[in-house]
Amino acid sequence: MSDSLKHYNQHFFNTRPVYALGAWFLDNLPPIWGYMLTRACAEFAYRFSPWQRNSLTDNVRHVLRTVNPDWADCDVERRTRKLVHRIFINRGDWFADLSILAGKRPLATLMKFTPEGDFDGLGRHVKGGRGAILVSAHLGNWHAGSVVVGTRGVQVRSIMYGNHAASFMYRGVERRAGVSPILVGDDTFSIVEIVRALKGGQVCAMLSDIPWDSRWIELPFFGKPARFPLGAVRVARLAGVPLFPAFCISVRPGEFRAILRDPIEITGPDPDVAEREALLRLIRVYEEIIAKYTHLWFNFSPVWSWNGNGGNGAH
Amino acid sequence: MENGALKDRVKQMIVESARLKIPPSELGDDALLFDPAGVGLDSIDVLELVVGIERSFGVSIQDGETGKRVLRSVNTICEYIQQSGKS
Repeated sequence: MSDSLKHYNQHFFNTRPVYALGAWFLDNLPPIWGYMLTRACAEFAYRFSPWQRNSLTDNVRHVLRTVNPDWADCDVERRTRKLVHRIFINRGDWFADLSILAGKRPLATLMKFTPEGDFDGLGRHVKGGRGAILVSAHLGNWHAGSVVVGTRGVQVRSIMYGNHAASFMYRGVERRAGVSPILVGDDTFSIVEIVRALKGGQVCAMLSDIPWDSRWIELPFFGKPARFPLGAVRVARLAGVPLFPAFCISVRPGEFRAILRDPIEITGPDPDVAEREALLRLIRVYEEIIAKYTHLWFNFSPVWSWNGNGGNGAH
Repeated sequence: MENGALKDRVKQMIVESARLKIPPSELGDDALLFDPAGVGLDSIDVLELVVGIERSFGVSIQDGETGKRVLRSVNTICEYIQQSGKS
């Protein structure tokens, strides 16, 4: 993981004991109390997390300016402040939803999912023996997305950093959905398992919007160059599988819309051009979804104002 | 295939797959490929090498543990290819 970006992932709430205690309370409280508790924690985080709040403010301000060029500066600032606060509060709901998904209460009575997109097409694609990558951004509840796909009979392997404070909760969600994780992070060679899974016709789910890894490429995002990780497109190209952009949008507590977009193939005589074009198509989907659901965009690291030197560029 | 010729092919494959800016002959037989003090390859290069070995030599690396053992150096890759009987 890039050292510069790592700071944005090191929040005082982002520790194993805090997550474990929170998850225990939330699994044993009535859901409505759980949402109240996590919203209170999110309010606290909003007030006392200047790094995350400032980078989120920069990100949201840029999106609002680009999407609404006719807004006056004072309007952009006012709406940015409100939206940043709302994103923190929504992140509290995100945690409460995650605890319900990972906990022991029956999902059917607490969670409702509405699919949007060709999920049957994904099922047919997998039955045809070809693997696929479900690729998403830090937007909405991506773990709930694996539940939607997993419970529709498509076996999913989720790619995740094994040392994350909330990993035990992610595993809880995945057990419920029949999803099995592939842990990456410190082990350089864990990527072999991803290639094997994809070549064996399995579906892997990964987030691909923050350049945690050493390889990134700079591409226009909301009209301004931003760095995107190369990993997903490189894996897809070398394994010969398409990327399916997928998102799980929380409509209200306990209610989600699962969005699946058309597959993106990485093909062409020049591999670098093919990867770049595929990533650009994926970024266009991200732009559309982020513009529509900015209030659920949980990217607390700086997208455009980052000048860190954690990556080594595209090659 | 003769050992020297196999090593040359493996070196060529590594340089092309990982897009190294050195001629294949400069890659030491025992140079540690994934050690920062050695060649300094990363996880994306693992992927390139796994696919490169499969494509060039018809030998697959099935899991991370095997990858860790096989992709140490040019010599370990050559040994694995020879053991698989595909050289």
